[in-house]
Amino acid sequence: MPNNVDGKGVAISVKIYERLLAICPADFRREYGPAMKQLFRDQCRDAWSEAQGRGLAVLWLRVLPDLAKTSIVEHLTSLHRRESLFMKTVQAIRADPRLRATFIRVFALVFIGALVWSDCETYWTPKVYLSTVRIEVQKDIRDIPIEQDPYFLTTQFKIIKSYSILTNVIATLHLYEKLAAQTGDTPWTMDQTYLNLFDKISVQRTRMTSLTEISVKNPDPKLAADIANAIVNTYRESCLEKWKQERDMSIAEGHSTRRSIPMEEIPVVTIRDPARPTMRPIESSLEIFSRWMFGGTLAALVAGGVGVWLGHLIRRFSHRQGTPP
Amino acid sequence: MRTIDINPEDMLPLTPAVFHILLALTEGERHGYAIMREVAESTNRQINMGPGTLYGTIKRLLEAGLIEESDRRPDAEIDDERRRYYCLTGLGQRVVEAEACRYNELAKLVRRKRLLGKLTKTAPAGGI
Repeated sequence: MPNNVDGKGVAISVKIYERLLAICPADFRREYGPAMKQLFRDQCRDAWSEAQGRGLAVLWLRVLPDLAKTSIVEHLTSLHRRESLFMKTVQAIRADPRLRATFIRVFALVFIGALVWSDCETYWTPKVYLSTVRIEVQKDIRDIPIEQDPYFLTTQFKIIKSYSILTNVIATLHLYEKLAAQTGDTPWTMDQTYLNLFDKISVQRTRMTSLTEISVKNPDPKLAADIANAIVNTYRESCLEKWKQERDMSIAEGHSTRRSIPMEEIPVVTIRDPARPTMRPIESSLEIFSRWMFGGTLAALVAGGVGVWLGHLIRRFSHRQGTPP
Repeated sequence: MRTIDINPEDMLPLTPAVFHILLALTEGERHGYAIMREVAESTNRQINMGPGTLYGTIKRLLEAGLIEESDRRPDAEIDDERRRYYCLTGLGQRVVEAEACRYNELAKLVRRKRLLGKLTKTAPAGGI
C-alpha cells in the first residue's frame, strides 16, 4: 500500500464516495461498503501519485458509472429476493400437507367471515340515492368574463352551502323532522340538521362545461331531489333579494337605478337541469357485495399466508423445545 | 456439501470479470485491492474493475460457493486488519480449471483455423 500522505483531493474524494454509497441497497452497503471505501481510497492514492488531480478526475469518470451499475444490479437482486418470499410460501404450502391444511382452514374462516359480513352490509345498510341539479351561474354584467375573477365560482359554491341558505331549506322542507325520522330519532335542532345536511351536499363545476352541479345524497330519492331543487330556489331568491336591497339603497341615495349598484357582485342563476328522483342507488347491492367479496378474498389469502408462517414458526419452536440438548 | 452436487461445466462460460478474479486467486488468498491490481496487471489494464464491480462479483462468487473468506491472516507487519481476504474453494478451483480448458480448446480452434496468422498480418503496428 502506498505510504505517501493523502492529498486533500483524496480525502475529499473518499468522503464523496462514502456519501454516494447510499445509493446501494442497505444490506449490500452494510456488508461491502467499508471494503469498497477502502478499495476506492487505495485507487485514489494510486491515481494521485500517478497524475494528482488529473488522475483523480480520470478515476472518478471510471468509478461513477461503476457505482451506478452496481447499485442497479444490487437493487434488482434484492427485489428478486423479496418476491421469492411469496414463492417460498407457495412451495411450503404445496410440500407440507399440514401447512396446506392450516392455509385452507384460515382461508376458509376469513372468507366465510367476509361472506357473512358482505351479506349483512348488502341487506342492512340503507341504499343511498343521489339527486343532482345543474345550474348556470353568471355575473349580471355580461361583458366581464368569469375568467377575470377566478374566485367568483368558488365564492358562489361556498354561498350555496352557507348556513343562511341551508337553514332556509331546512325550514321550508321541515328537514329537522324528516332527516331525524330516517335515523329513527326525535326531531333535531337546526344546528344538528344543518351539520347533517352539509355533509350530504356537494357543489362542483360540471367537467368541461360552465355549469355548476349541486348533488344531494339521501336514502329517499324524492327527498334528495326536493332538497337539491330547494337549495337552488333559495340561492336564486337570496341573489335577487340582495340585488333588490342594493337597488333600493342606491335609489334612496339619489343615484340612477342600475348604474351605481355593484352588479358584478350579483350572480344570475339559471336552472338548466332540475333534480328528479332517481331509482338507481349510488351503489347497487351487487356492487357492495362484489366490493366486500373482493376485499374478503384478498384478506383471506393474506391471512392464510400469515397462518402458514405462524404454523411453521410454532412447529419449529415446539420441535426445538422437544429436542434434547 | 453443495460442491459435490454441482458440475463445474454447468457454470461455464464465466464472465471475464469472474474468470479474472478466480485466476487471481489461484495463486493464493488475496484482498480486494490485491485482486484488482492483479487483474489490471495481467490484462495490461484492459480490465480495470471499480470497487462496485469487484465487490458485486465477489458477493455472487461467495453465494455460488466458488470462493470463501479466509480466516488466515498474513504477517501483522504487512497486514491491514480492516482488509478481508478471499480464497478459492474446491468448487472454485475446478470451475476455473474447466474454464481454462475451454479457453484452451478455443485457442486450439483458433490455431487450427490459422486465424492468428491472418490477424497478425492485418493488425496495425502495436496491435495483436
